[in-house]
Amino acid sequence: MVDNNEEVKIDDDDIIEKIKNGDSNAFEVLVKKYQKGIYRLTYRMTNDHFTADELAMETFVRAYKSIKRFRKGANFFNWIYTIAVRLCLNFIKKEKRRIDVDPSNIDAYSIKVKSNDGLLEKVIAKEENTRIREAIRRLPEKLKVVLLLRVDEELSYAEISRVLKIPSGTVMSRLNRARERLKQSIGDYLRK
Amino acid sequence: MKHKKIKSLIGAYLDGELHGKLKNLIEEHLKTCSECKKELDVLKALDKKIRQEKIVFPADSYWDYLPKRIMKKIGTREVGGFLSFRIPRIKWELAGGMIVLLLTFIVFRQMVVDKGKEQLEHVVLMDRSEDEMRETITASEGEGIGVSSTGSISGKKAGMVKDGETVKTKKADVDVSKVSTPKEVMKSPSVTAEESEKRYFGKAGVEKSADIAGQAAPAKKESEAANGALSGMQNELEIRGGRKQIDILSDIKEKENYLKTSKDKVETQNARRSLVRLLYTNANMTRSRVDLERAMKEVQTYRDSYPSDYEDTLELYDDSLQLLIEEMEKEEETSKERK
Repeated sequence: MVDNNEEVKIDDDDIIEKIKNGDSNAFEVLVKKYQKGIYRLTYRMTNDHFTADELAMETFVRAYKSIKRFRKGANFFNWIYTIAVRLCLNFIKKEKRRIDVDPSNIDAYSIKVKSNDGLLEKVIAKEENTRIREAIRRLPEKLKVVLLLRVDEELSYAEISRVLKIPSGTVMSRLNRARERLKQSIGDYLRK
Repeated sequence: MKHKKIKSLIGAYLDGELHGKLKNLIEEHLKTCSECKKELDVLKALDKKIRQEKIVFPADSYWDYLPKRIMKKIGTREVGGFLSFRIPRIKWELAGGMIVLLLTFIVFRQMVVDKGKEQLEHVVLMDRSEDEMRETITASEGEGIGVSSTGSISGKKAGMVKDGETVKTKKADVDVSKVSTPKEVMKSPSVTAEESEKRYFGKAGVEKSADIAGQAAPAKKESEAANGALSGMQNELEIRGGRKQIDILSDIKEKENYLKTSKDKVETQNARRSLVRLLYTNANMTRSRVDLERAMKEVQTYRDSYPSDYEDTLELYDDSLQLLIEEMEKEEETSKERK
């Protein structure tokens, strides 16, 4: 998903050609175009704005550094998403010591604190959002990334296949598994 | 097509990935199968919920400034930040140095082993030739023929003696009874290693032995040195295991110093955000009360400085840190009760 600004109409290939010819400022146009999409993905993958910010920045820096290897005519969107996905997966893999708080504990704690402020209704309304977010967060990374690329970014199976370098059949089976798991964890909200 | 197979394709149908006959087949099936229809509705609801799950994006100013931050980072070629997969240049240099050291050690070790083998073979040959000569002496005593077995056989000579060969002289000039076999020497507890060598090899033998030992000693020293280097490398690797925290601590210090002098509002906010993230990561690693409380304090400082900025992440940090403190307090209480 891209920003709705005037630069969107400019062809990615033209911008990349300028960058390759030494106009590094042209890269800013690409950043503006894809920043929200990349940020959304990094945030969804990490569930942490501060980390998402760092990963989004890192994605663009790495894209810039490798731009000479980008083939003309290829899909820049897929290419930069591939970088972002890999950075996220690497980060998550290496953050094994990261705290893994049981979401039920967090909810209980939030409710406990907030109810003291008389904001229980707001918290209950928020709870569903939290549950869904936590259910997605708890998916295995391989399933999560396929689900987010499909549902959030609305990529086709073929596009996901190219970004993740896996067969389309695998995309479909991973999506099925991701949806099955989510049905099990947030099924009660789906029936509302 | 079987019901089970069709059910597994409902997701793909919902995603618009099916076309032609297959799509028609699914649609026909959905008209008659309530279970599959229900599955489709559930999946639709699920996707809707996922899309509806609100992401509170940062304020507009963030998007104005993010491209500038990225361009600045590209300009200064500063890659990384607190991220664990950052590999600073110094680490590459260290890794390169370690590889060279390791290769040197392997090559040197092989040389020492080869040399040792060569010398061992030499000694074995000497041993064998002494035995052969002794047998010859014994056999030739009655015939009045002796072997020059003064024990002063040089290594080279001994090395030249081959199986089945005997070296004959005019007369035995040695009291054969005084010649001890290596086994006897070894059996005698009062005989020191040096004496045993002297008794068995004679002076030259000792010299030769000393020569071998002399060659082996520096080799041993170098081997020990190489082992020491390896041990040093192992220590270095062990240290590297905890290096991430060292990096984090150094980054924390850097951010704190930057915040003392920074005047740029946006940069200050970025640095403070990084500091919160670093302190949070560090607290999760150490799980010490001091670090946890320090991180919580910084979360609060950020919240006070930039109200309504990244509320959900700050809330998550706060809750996580609070839970860790509670867990720690419970553990402390349990250990007190046990005592």
